[in-house]
Amino acid sequence: MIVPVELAAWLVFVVPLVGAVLTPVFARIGGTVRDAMAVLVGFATAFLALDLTASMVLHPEAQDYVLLTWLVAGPYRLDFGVFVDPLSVLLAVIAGGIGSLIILFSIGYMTGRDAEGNLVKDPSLTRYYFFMQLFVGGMILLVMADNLLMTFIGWEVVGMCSYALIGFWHNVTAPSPVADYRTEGEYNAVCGMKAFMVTRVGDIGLLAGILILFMITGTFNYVELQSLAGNASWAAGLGVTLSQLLPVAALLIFAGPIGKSAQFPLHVWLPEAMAGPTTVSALIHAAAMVKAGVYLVARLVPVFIDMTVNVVGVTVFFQTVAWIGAFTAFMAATMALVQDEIKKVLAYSTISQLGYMFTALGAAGLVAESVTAYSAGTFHLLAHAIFKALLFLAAGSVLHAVESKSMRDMGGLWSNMKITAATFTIGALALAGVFPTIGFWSKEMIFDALLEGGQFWLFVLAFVTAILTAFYTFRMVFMTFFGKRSAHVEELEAHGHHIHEAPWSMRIPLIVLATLALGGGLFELVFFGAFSPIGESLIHPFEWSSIHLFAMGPLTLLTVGIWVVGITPAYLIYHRGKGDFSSLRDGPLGRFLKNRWYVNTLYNRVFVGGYLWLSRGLHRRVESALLAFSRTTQEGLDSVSRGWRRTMTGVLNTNVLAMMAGIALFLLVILFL
Amino acid sequence: MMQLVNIPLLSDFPMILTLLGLTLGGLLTLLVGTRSERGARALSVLSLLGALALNVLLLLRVNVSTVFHDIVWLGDETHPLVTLGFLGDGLSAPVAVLIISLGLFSVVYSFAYMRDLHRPGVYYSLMVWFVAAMVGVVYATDLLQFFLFYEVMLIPAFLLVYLYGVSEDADERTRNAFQFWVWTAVGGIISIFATLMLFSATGTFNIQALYTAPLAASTAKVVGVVFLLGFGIKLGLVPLHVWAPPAYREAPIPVLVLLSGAMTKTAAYGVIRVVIPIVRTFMVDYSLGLMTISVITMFYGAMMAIAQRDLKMMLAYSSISQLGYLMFGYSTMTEVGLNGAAFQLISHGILASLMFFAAGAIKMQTGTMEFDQLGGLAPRMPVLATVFVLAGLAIAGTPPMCAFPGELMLFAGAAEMIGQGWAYVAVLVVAVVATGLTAAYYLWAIRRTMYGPVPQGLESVSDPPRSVLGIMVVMAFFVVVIGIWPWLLGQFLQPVLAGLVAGG
Repeated sequence: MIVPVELAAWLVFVVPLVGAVLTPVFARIGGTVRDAMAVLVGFATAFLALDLTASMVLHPEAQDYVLLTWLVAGPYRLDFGVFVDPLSVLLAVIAGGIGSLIILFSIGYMTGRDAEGNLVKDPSLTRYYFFMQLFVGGMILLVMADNLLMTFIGWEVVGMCSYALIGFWHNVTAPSPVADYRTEGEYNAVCGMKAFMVTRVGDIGLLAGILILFMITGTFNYVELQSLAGNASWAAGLGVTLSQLLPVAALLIFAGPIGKSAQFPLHVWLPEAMAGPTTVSALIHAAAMVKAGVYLVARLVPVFIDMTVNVVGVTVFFQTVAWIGAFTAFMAATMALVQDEIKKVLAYSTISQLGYMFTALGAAGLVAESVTAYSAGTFHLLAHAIFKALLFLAAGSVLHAVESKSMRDMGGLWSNMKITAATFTIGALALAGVFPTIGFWSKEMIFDALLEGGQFWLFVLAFVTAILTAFYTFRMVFMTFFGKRSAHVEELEAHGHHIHEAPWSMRIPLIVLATLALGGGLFELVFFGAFSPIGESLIHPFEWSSIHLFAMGPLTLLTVGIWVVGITPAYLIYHRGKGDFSSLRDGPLGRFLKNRWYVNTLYNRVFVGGYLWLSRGLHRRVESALLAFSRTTQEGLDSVSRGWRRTMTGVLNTNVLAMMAGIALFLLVILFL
Repeated sequence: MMQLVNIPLLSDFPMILTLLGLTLGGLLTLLVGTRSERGARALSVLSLLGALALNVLLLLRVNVSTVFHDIVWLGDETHPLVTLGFLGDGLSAPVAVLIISLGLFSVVYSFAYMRDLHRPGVYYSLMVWFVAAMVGVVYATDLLQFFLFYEVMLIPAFLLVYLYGVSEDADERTRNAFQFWVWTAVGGIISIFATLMLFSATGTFNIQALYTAPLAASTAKVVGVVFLLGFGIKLGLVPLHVWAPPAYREAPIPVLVLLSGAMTKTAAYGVIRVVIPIVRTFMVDYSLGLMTISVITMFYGAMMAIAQRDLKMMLAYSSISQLGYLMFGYSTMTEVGLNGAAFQLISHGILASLMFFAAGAIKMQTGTMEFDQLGGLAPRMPVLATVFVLAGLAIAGTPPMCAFPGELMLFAGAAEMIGQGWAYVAVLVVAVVATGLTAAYYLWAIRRTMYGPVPQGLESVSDPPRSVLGIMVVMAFFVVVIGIWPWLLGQFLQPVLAGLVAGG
């Protein structure tokens, strides 16, 4: 609109990337300049993204802009381009808009008090703002890229930033929260490493999948993929192996989103990702990182929907996506029931809500009315970005004031920090799906799509999860802001540390996000009303105008039932203090949930332990034998050359045999494989 | 790309001048070194700088036209038997620039690292000659010339390990150096054997002529396998890697950089320049077997790396594992795979050296490279830590750093074969899994050295001297730039490789 689309589409990720690179330069001038520039870059990015949205609404079209040749080799010609369509612009707005609010919030949040009570900035802020901007830039690069490979690059940049930011406080000397490590800093570094490694497992599948898909289709480009997908003669000419490989490629690609969006079985990293600053958690959960997986699936669902017509077996992709999503949603919700740390509850809720998105997107390929399911999934993506950013920032505000992560150290904070409490509650209402927040509309759309499409069991799982969600969300609200004050709070107050409301730089983002979360109905109008003409100009034409807006029916009543069944017990137990559940908490079920279904322990034993065991075993037995052999050859030759011995006898024989065997093996493998 | 700079004479004979300059420069270094260490330092740096400048000039013109000279060495003018040829094209020029730059960096690094140097003239002249021999290999147009330089290269390499090894015990040093000598010499002899077989079949040593010379399938297969066995020893393919750990343990960091970053690359260069174009069409049948060996090397190296207690040895095994990637690219016998291998050759040359330099810098500042005695260095050495983390992530194949485009192309080469059966799919997936292992041990190493609590005695360490930091920052710069826009490097390699695949 103001900036030409073809320029804005580039600038929107180049600006934060350049901002990141310039951060150390600004830091030389002064800390305040650096912070101000970070905020400025954030808002410039947000402005560009919003401007792109405006252009999109005024002149709906999907357009591919190519800038430069990235690499040429053999049949590969990789061009670097950006693709502007409603989906990419939506994600850019989420990453840029919410990202900018989080950077603004950081100004206040990353300032602490030293022993004398003076305001001090974190000493490593240059590193912090560098990676925050790189994070936003990488995420927008990921969504704007016009081909799978550039998306993968953005994907890895985001992963790298998460590694650096989760382990941001790597030299804190406080005692570790977990027994295995010496200091909290070490624990934080391990958490960052875990996040990187677990998502890397998914990335391995993603990279292999992308390459296999390229061999099948001959392109990385989304537009070309889409036009091939519906082409029956192309599908007919594939041959047996390649058409059998297509579902394999699709599933391998889905491994990437499983890792990045923390779905079962790679969900284990997200709770540990809470080790970073809360602003980082907000960015990971709301604006970037975990949304990348949902984006990629949303980007490829139309392609694979078209392929199901011509290639047998692609449906397995949609079944996997939907069921992994639904199962993860349920599993994470049960884990959230027993968490004591406010950020951990939010972490599990993110895993659970992402599961909803995958359920809806997967269902799009399983039901006749794929439009409803697809748009429900993407709309929930937007809704979740808003309310989860709100919840994390508000939680950050609480943590900042109380200086503890555990909800057992909070309680009764409502009167001290009304704005934080009110905005947090609005976010919680949205998470629980209460009318009229944005979460209500998006969740109801998902239920509607599942039920109308005849996916009854997916619906049941999603519905039960929604009840659990309402319960744990309000358990969190009541434990934090209502009820009796905890001993920790009393002690803080007794030491003259008054619990106070956050500064304005932190309050503004909260209010903006709360307004957005509350104005949910309006969003549905914007999303499907104003966007509907462009729905048809998506790569895959979806007739969004055919969606029923504000549908009220029997389903609405059921949704109301969720709040009643979920919130009432939370109110009774955690606000009124009724009932004693300690035996249940400490019983086998409680332990099972607290230990996260023992998945984490199992992985640690099998993968980390197994890897180390195998490598140490190889080192002790195989490598040392090989090295001893090499040494013996040298010694043998040495003794010959010095004429100490006329013949080589003794131990050498076996070693020479081993050498012969090694060379013979080498030749055999080459000749016969 | 346009020809940016053209200086008469220098641009016309850059390769001959490089070799002459380095040989004479080495000699002068040796002579002056008997009197003054500073003189030896200055002369070695000057000769390497001159060589670097000449090769950059060469690089700037190779995309317009290749540079070629030859001098008949044996035989008469019309029927030369052996010629001394010098070929500068988009493949040899970047490799030469890499080797000379690493030589220059190692020498400058030695100023700070090699304290109390015994006979500095010998050390610096050997470094210069080592570089000269490696560059000679890269320029060669004749197989005998190639292997002449290839074997000559071992003399300075062996002497550097033997004379300047880190072991206190002289016997231990001798043993380690001799293992290195024996194995790599044997590797060279095996390769020369293959050369002679080629000569008896075709009657020529000229590499260019061999590309198109008719060759019986059976001979070609044997020649290919023997060549790969010979080069495989120097590359360190498992189980032929046995010389590498002792030699790497023994070599001081600047020498190690040349061994691992540059010398193994001459073998990799030999595979791509000599073996692949001559026998590629016959070797396609062995592709899967070679890919399997490469994957074993990748995994075995990664397994050994994680079992090490010492940063230097972890890097040594990592280097072995990374050379498995290179071989993987060759094994696919596809154009993309070869491009990937050539790209990886340059990228690993930079990255492995950068990591070794970083490890040496840690040793300089803390006195140790053992993981148990390190930790929490990041706040104390901010610049070094940044480079270390960046290079570690880069080797693990994280974009936008320079290992990613190379690995991508290697894997793309393997992906090209998947139409031929599920075994290829399995090899591809397993190979990609190896990048995950690489990430695992590098991240673990980073955590153990850079993060967490600081051990006693290291509270007051600081960043290494500026010369050392400067080298690492320059290398890190190229790591990122090439990673962001790989075509900067690819534009040189790609046309040459396309030609080699098409049969010279």
